[in-house]
Amino acid sequence: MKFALALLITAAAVWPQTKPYTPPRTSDGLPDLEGIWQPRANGAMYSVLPHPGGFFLGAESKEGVVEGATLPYQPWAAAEVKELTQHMELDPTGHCHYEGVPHAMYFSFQLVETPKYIAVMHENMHAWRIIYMEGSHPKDYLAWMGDSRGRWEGNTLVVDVANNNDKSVFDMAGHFHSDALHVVERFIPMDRDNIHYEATLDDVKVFTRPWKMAFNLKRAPKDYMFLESGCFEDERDQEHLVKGKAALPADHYKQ
Amino acid sequence: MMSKALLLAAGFGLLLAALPAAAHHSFAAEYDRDKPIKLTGTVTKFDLSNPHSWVFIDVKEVDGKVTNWAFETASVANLYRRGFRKDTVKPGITVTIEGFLAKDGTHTGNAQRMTMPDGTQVVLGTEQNPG
Amino acid sequence: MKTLVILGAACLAAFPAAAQTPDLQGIWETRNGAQFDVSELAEGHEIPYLPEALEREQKANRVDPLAHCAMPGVPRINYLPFPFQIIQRPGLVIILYEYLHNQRLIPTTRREHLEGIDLWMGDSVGHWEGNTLVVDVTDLGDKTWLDSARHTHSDALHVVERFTRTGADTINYEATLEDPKTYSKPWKIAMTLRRNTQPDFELREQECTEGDTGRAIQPQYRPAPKGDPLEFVRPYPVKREVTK
Repeated sequence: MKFALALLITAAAVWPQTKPYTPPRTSDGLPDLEGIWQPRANGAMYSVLPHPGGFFLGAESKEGVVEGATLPYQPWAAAEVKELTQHMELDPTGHCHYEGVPHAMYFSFQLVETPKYIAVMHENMHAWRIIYMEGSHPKDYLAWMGDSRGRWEGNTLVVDVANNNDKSVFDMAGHFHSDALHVVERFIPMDRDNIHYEATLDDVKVFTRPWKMAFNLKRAPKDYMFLESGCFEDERDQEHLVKGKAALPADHYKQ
Repeated sequence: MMSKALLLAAGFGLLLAALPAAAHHSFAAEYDRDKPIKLTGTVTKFDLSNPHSWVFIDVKEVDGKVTNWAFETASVANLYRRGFRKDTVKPGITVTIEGFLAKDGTHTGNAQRMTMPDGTQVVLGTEQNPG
Repeated sequence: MKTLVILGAACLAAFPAAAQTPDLQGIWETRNGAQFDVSELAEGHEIPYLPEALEREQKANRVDPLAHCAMPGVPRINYLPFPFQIIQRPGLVIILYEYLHNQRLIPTTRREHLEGIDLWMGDSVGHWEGNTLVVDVTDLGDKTWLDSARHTHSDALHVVERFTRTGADTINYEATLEDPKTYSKPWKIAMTLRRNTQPDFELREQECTEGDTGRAIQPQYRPAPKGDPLEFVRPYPVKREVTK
C-alpha cells in the first residue's frame, strides 16, 4: 500500500506532461538546451529516496527522486548501505572527490553545445564533463565523473555514461555503486525554461535490476553567475573528521 | 549602512538556502547537534575563501585566559551572494557567534548566526543547509 | 552561382569588420620551463621586484599551494604541463584545464569586475580586439604562486592576457602582470600554445586530494608524445635582485 502510494506521489511529482515542445536551434542547427540550469532535485544530495530532514541533512523530502521510491539493492549491498550511514566521515565528497554522474546533476550547471561535443560545467567543485557526440568509451579508464558519449534523439539529448569508478556515491545516505555502473541520461526539453531530466541506472554487481531517477531542471534567472568554488586541502575539515564515530541515528534513513 | 545591506542579503540568503549550489558532505560528520554553543569574542581574522569561509575570534575564558576559536561558515559563493565581502567582518570588532561544536574536541565550531556590534544578526549557514 | 560566390567573397574583403570572431577552439598545450620558473618567459628574464616585496617573499610560506591541491591561479594554470580545451560560444569563452580539472568561464560581453572578493583563479572578463582575445583578470588574492620557484604576488595583482591565433596550430599567449605592492613596473611573459594534433585526443579526468595521511596525492604528469622533446627555453639563473 505504502509502495503504491509512493509510486503515485513520485509519478505526480516528477513525470512530465506529454506536450511536445520544439526548442529553438543553436547557430549550428542543434536543439538549443544551452544555459545555466538549476535542478529541482528534492534534496537528492542527502538521499535519493524519501527522507526526513535533519541536522545538516537538509529539509524533508516526501518523494525523493527515484521511481517507485525504492532502490533494488542485492541483499549484501543493502546491508552495506546501512553500514555506510554509520560512517559519514567516509563520504567521498567530504574528502573533496567529485560527485560523479548523476550526483553532480543535482546542482546548478551551465551547458554549451557544439556539433562534436557538449560541455557541462558545474559551479560546485568546478566539476566539468565533456559529452562527446562521437567516438566510444575508452578502455582501461575509470573516472569519478565517468566518460560520456551523447547523441540527439529528435530534441532529446541522450547521454551514455560509463567508465565510472566504484568510489563515487549517489548521496549521503550510503547509496553506493560498483565500477559496473552504467547510466543513460535523457534531457527532454519541456518548454523554454524547463528540462525534464531522467537517468536510467544499471549496475549488475550491486542492483537486482535497472532503476530510474527523474527531476526537473529549471533555467536560472538571467543575471545568475557562477562564482568560483573549490574543495581541497586548506580545507580544514579534514583535520576534524572523526573516524569511526556514528554520525546518524541508526534508523535515520530507513529503507 | 553596511549592516542593512547584510540584513537584506541575509534574508535573501535564507531563500537561497532552499537551492543548494554546492555540496560538501562533511558537516554532519564533523559537528555535534547536541552541543550548541554561543561565544562572544573579538574577531582576529575573517577568511572569505574556498572551500569554506572562516571567522576566528579570541574568546576570554573566566580565568582570563584567551583562546582563539575557529568558526566554519558557508563557501565564498554563498557568502558573496548574501552581501559579504572580504572586509565585511573587520578584525577587532566584538561579535557573538552561535553554532555547533566540533566533535573532535578542538576549539572549532560551525557558525550558524553571528551578531554584529550594532546588534544586527547575519546568517552564516543554516542547520538544514550549511552552504 | 560562381558570380554569387565571388560577390560574397568581395563583400567579406571589403568589410573585414563583418568577419567572424577568431577561432581559438581546440586542445592546446605548452611545453616550457615556466612551471618551474616563470622568469624564463619574462622579457629580460627578470621580474622587477620592489625591495620590500622581495623581503616579504623571502619570509613567506615555503610550501607550494599546489602541494595542498589548491588552484594554481592565473597565469600559472596556462603553463602547467597539461592540455587544456578552449570552447567558444556567443558571449562566452570557456577553458577546461586537465590540470586538477580546473575551469575558467570568461564572459566576452563586458561587465564590471566583482569586488571585495579573493578568488584562486581570479575574476576574468574578456573582449575581442581584432584577432586577439583579451582577458582582464583581477581579484586573484595573494595565495597563489606563479611557479614552483616561489615567485609570489600580493592581492593587488592584475593580469591582462592576450590570446592571438598565429597559425593553424599555434596561438601566441602573452600576459602582462601588474602589482604595485610587489613589482616596480608591469612586466610581460610570452609563449606559444601548440595545438594537440593527435587523432582522437581527449582530456582525461585528474584530481588531487588528500590521502588518508592528509598528504596530497598528485596527478601523474602526462608523458610528452614520442619523439616530441620537452621544449625548454634556455635556462637562466634565478635572479632575486631588485631591478629599478
